[in-house]
Amino acid sequence: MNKHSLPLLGIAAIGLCLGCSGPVTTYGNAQATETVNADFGSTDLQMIADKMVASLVSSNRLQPDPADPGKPPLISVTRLRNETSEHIDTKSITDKIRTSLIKSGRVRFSALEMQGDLMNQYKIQGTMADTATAKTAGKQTGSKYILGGDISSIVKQTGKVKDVYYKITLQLTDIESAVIEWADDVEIRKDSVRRLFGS
Amino acid sequence: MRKCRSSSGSFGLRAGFLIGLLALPAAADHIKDFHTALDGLRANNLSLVDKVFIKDASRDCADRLLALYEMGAFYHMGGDPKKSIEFFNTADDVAHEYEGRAIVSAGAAGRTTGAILVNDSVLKYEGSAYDKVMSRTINAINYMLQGDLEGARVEVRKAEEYQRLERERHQREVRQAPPRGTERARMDDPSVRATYGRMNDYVKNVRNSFENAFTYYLSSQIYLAQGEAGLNDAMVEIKKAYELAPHAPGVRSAYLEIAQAQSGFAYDQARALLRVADAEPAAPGAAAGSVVVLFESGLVPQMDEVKINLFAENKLYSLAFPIYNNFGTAQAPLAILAPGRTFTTTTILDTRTLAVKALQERMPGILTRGLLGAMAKGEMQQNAEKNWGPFGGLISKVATAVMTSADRRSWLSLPAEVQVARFKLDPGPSQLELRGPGLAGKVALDVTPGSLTFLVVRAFPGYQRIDVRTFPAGGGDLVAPRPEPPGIPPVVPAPILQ
Repeated sequence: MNKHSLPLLGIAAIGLCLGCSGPVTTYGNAQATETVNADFGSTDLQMIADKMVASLVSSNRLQPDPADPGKPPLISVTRLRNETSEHIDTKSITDKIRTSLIKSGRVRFSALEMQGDLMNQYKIQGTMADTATAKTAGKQTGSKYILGGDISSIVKQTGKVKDVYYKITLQLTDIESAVIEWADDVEIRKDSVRRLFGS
Repeated sequence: MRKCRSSSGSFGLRAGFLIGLLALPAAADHIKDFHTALDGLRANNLSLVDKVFIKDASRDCADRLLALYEMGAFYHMGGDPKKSIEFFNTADDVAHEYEGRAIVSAGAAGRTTGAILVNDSVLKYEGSAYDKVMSRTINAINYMLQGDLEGARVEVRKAEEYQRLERERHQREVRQAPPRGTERARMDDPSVRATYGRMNDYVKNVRNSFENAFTYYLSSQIYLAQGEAGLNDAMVEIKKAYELAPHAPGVRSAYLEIAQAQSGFAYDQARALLRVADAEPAAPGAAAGSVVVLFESGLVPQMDEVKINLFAENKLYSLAFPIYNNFGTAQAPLAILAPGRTFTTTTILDTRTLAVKALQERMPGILTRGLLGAMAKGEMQQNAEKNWGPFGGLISKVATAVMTSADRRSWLSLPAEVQVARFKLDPGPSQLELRGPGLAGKVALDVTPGSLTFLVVRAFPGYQRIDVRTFPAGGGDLVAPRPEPPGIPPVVPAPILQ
């Protein structure tokens, strides 16, 4: 090694060290089990959605709306009531369930959350669009069912063990008859143990 | 503003000593920063709060949790519940992280060593139990002021859960504690008893530092805002508040009202328990709207320091302990003048008692570390004299005297007291006038049948703020998309009385 290569090696080494000092970012598997802590997490969300969708689709309780024949029944989703002691984005749960159910082709959903945007469209189209194609208010399809529920939790802690139990209940109600056509719950139990040694 | 003190865990005695030196002015700095932030709040300039606390709040350092609590409370007092929520939620995450760390933690062990050699300011501020309960309680008010009752219920559940777990942990500790442990015996030392006697007298009737009647009272009112669906939960919570503060008028009247709304049987039971005569209280009109006043009054006191320097065997034994000397005076009530009637707030929480009780509960550990530290520093002086002669000995004694200081860090922007009032108003427009020492304001309400209005008043010398949020009858749960609330009634600003 000649003497001129030494400074270059030094610079390269410093560069390497600096390069190593930044945060390391990698892609993970979104479906992989997440066990960072006992709080509600992505695995719980996926587990709930998968079990609820499988239960609802296999229940054979979904009937077409006689007023809207030949099409899968229309469902309105309400937000899951959060009865836990964590701030859980319950909309993510219902969104995930809704998406999976739509993919199953067995049901359709009413865009309840977009009513504000739809109202704007009716207004804009009422003044700006060709009357032949302008969409107007008052022609939305009425939902046959409403899907709602709640999520609750119980937390226990003894010494270094923390036990969290979640229960998620969903129910599908026929809007006209107020009959609960389907209901199911998913229970999740998570334990976290404080390590004995660590940093 | 000060430099964020390192909280690195892997350091030895020397590093602990150096870091301890950096930690020397911690409590004084915190008190100074707090007063700067307070001036900012009085001048309606919350950027001063950011200026003094944001650095500590956003990085891993010893005072991070304390800075987050202060910022959450300042933004709450300043009328920005959204930002307050952000800081309190981050504080909650940080507190969880501290609670979940390994039982034998190298970092914590290193910091404890540093604390023994220097002072407790080296330790991470992990928050007292009442800090954690109060942060969730104030955060519940933040969510409620934003019209998010579900978020408020999550916070009160978190507060309830924390109090329950602390109670269970406390019971386990009491069961496992030796009848006369070394630390308990140390607290019985006559000199310690003499020094802390006044403080001990002040909290002799306080059960513990982690439970308070206000948090349970607020929970009950937040459940009530849900309407019929929240009645059972409201009853459970007000019963817990009653257990802690059976004589608080606010708790008693809320207990009766909730029982009355629940059933005739529950009402009869409550009347028997509270020994209420038939004539009181008057049955509320079904068409009336309820008003709940939450009055956060004054500020908790700062800790002082007791310093003891003893010369023995050519060694300086220096000890410094935190103490509350000044508890402040009782806060005056707030009068609410409604058309033809006047209501007065009554105290439901004296935060000062929780602060003093928390310090009392921490004292055995503080005393142990202080005594160990005094002995270790004595040995260091002897070594310094042996290695560097009398001059080295003198320098080490001066260093001991200067470095020994008490950890006086505590959450200072909490209210000294919380007072409450609950009353009913006939439907229609109503003008309320608020009067208290150094506080005056008017609030216009539009009362609807069965509605529940929260009036949140914060006041301390040189500052006042009133916020109002009304929830309609039958529950104010707002489902997505959340419409903007019907509007906060105008609050007539009153002159700030210095």
